Amino acid sequence: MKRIQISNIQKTVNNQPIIKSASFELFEGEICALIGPNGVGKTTLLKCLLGLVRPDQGSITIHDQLLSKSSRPKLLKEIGVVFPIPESLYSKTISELFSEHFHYLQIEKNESYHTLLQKLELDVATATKIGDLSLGMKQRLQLAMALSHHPSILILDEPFNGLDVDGINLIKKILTDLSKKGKCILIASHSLSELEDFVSSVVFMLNGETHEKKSLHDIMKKYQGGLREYYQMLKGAECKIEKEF
Amino acid sequence: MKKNFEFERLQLKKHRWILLISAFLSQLSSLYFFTIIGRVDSTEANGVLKNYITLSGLASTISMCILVVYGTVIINRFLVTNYISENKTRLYVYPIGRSRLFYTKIASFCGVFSLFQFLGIAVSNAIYLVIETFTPILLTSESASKYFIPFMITALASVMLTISIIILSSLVGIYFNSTVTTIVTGIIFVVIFGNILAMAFASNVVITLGASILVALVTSIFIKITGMRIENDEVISK
Repeated sequence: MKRIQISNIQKTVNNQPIIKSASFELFEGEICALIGPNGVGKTTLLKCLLGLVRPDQGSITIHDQLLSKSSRPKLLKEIGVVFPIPESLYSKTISELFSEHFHYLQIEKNESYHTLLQKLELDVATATKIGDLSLGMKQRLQLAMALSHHPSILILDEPFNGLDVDGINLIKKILTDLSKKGKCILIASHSLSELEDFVSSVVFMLNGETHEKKSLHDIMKKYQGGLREYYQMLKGAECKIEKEF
Repeated sequence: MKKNFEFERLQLKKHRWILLISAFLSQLSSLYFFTIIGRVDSTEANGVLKNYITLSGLASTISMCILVVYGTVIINRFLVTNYISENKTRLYVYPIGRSRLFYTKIASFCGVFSLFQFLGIAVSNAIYLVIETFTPILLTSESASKYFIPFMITALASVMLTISIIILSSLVGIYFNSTVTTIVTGIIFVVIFGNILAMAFASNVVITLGASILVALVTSIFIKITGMRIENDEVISK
């Protein structure tokens, strides 16, 4: 079942094309990695998906509904987001943050956030201030918040930043379990090594353009060096095209 | 809407009593400060301090200045930080509706701040007038008791102007993506309007109240404009 369709998205900021062309589809139970170097437009594309940035051209469909200003609030209920926690929230405690989060999500009956924190092995007192948590703990907290309303789509921007090996493995395991339950997961990352063993598909983004979505299985079958070799091949092709022009 | 308002109101819970005490102490101390000056200094220039209406106007201006600074600090934490730079991403991805949440936050801030500021000022005005009625410090033939209503009207106008200045400063802060701008704008507004207001308060309280309502209306127009801007806002990374 199709969850997201991104069709020919283009975005220019201050006369500079940030996204030249982005198109791909995501399905139920899929873990897709949006990979590309820093500053290539990955975060802007995620923001387009969340209605935080308006594309100049193209369209985004979520659950077969066109993302627009009027449909935005309804569609946002279907999405869980993992973005870095802003520093302005560091003085708040975990319980304060969760109570605000549940309220703004308009959740009447919610799963206890203690259970969510336990699932993510975040063994800290809920009276702990956000600023006192390590970077890895903040990432897990953000993931717990993103999952709190049981969204069908999960969007993560650089979720492995600051995590140790155990933390990375834990997140991978949770995301894999979620995909088995039918969640559609989109991960934007510049790191190839952490994605290689658990994503189901890959979309490379280079110079503001997305390349055709490939299944990880196909890439691994075709390229012995895995994602890295595939990425080098795409990058080489891009350089060649640039040189020709 | 009511539920959202209640939630936001609770976020301001810890500031209520500080606000009430600040309003009460600043108003009462200003009233006595000007009353004592008016009594001890008998030069012609201080003739204005022999009149309860003038005293009330001056005291309200002083307490307004103090509360604007305190209010801009609160509103920075409560509102402005949530709507600047990348921080707004968090609020914008909630399905609650961007402008709706913004208006609710503004309404709850105005509700809490105006209620506790008015209470603080009204109580201090009442205490001052009662004491002045029985043991007057001010050298005047008039009884302080008949100034109860003008004092309350001045308090009302002062509350409306304080809120308007704080809100306008926060809107400027949001516009320029800066919490410092909010405080600086608040101080600039107080400096500009403080003198004018002191004179206005001391002349005709009803006209001042009318002018305060007008300023509040202008502020609400700017709130609406900012709400519309937030609805269409884009979170572009720098």
